[in-house]
Amino acid sequence: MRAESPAAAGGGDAAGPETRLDTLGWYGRRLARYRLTLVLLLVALALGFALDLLLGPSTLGLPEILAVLGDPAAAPPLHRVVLFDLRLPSAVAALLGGICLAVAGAGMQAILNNPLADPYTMGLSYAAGFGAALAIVFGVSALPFVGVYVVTANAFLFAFGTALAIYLVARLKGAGVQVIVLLGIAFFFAFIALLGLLQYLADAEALQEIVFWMFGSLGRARWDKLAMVALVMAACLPWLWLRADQLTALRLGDLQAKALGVPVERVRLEVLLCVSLLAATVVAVAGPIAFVGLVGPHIARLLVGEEQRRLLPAAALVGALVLVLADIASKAIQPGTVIPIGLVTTLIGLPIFLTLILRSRSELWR
Amino acid sequence: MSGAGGGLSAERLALAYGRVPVLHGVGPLRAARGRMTALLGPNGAGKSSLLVALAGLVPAEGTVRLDGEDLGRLALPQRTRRLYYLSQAFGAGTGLTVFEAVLLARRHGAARDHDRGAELEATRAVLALLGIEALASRPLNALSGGQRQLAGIAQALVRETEVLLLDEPTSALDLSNQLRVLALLRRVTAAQGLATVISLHDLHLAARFADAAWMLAEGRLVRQGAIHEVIDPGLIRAVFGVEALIEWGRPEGPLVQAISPVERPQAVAAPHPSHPPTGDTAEGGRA
Repeated sequence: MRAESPAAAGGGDAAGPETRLDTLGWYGRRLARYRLTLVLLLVALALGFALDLLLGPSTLGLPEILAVLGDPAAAPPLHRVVLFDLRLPSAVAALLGGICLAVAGAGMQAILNNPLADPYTMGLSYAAGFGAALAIVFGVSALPFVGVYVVTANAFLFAFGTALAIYLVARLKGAGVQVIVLLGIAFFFAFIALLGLLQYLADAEALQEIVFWMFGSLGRARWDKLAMVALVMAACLPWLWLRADQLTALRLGDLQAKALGVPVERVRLEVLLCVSLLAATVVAVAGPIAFVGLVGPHIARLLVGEEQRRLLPAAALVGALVLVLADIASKAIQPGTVIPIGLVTTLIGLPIFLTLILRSRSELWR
Repeated sequence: MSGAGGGLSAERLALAYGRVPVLHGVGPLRAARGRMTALLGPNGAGKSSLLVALAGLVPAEGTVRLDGEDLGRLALPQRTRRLYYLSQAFGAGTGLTVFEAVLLARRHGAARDHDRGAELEATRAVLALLGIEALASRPLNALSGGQRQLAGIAQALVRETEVLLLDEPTSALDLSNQLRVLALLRRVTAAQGLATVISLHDLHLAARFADAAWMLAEGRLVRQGAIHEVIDPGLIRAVFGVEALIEWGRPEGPLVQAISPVERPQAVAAPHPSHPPTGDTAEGGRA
């Protein structure tokens, strides 16, 4: 309707054409740097993935792997099993799990305006742990007909049920950030206590199994479970991507995001459900893997900034890379054994993460 | 679009935070197109609450119209394409760069850019207009309060809405930027026929740049009208408890200077809901 743009109406307090080139040039370079970052991450991820396939407790080296890949039918059955049923599912689990956890962390950090939010701190991991422990100790499932997947199904049900409970209470109370964070913390401690109680009641064998489950391990990954993860990703990631701008607007605060036309409460709750689904699926398959949901988004933020259209893809790739590297480390630290990956992500990731944060001059958050 | 009867109007706006009422049926209010309307009043008068209520960002009672059209019927995204609210604390908590924040506002604003290039160019033009192109690459949380306010104003202008609701947008600006930005807002408002409402604590700046004003006290409208009708020694004494020196006819523009605090009349400090607090000087309110 208006004939004039603000610039035309304002007249010439403006800078000259040289500055003009600078600003748009700077933004162009920023986008180019972002694309380069993605490409480098993809290359690193491909190399990491290949290395991940080469390592394992069994002595299956590069020639054998190449032989299996070259002509699976002619390869020894044992080699085929090691590659296709053990190493490949575990490496794919690292890839998909890293993407899911890091994107879930980025989404939670955006909607809760809190750099500490991730599936772990929201109580989802311990909820899953409690569900798994229930199945291990009593062999009971909240879902019928799950058969051998009773532990996975229970873990998922409790993790997602917790997210759903947080969602419902938050919806009743107006979806404020504090309400959601406090509920997450409350569930976190409640499930730690319940898990402790179950461990206290469990016999030695079940106790060992619970403890091992809580370490988090990609060794549990099977193709059917991975297909489920992929399905959830296929539904959630595009959906989240479409809301990237709304998530960016949330970083300006609730009121300003609303002024930009973002229905803040609805977006917060929908995204909470979506990222919880991603996280719960991974936790159900692999057990709790600490730290990827926290470190992935933070490293991505250092690389590409806070604009969610760029942050979400970058966080996904960083998360995948972190988990693939952790998988490699879990096999390389003590050749012949696989250390649970949940321990590796924390013990090796934490010092690296702290170094990155302390050395970075830019302010990460606030 | 900006006919004589056009502009932003509101009636019986009421708002409470929990059980604490902050607006007591404010209205009828009117902010004409092409004019700057100053929103004045002491701390806690309800200025910010009135602005968010007008913007439709809080569940307030009452009606808000733009050129006669009830804005309450519009969904949030449609409504915010027609009016933009800029909060006092813009951008303090985010590492988004100035350019990204302004581009984001452009992308979901009233203007429809044909392509990405037009979007980027519009963003750049507004930064240049405000003289902050050099800040484009800086994260908002690394800026000074005044620089952030300039970025906020850029976000407000880039959306090309018909109404601007600005909450103390110049409070942290230095003297030269205050004059520059208010002159710019006045120019843009007049040229584009915007209805601009701007809350200000500095009555001198209000007298100099606003065409009209609303005076608020304790959640009630105590007067509205042309700027010289509202910035009046008697009303300032009654509402702010300050003796003010006001000169309208100066060639350099009007001068308003607070001289000394005075005892505030009881009527404004604790107004009775059914009476206009300033007696015969009040034009609005719930009387």
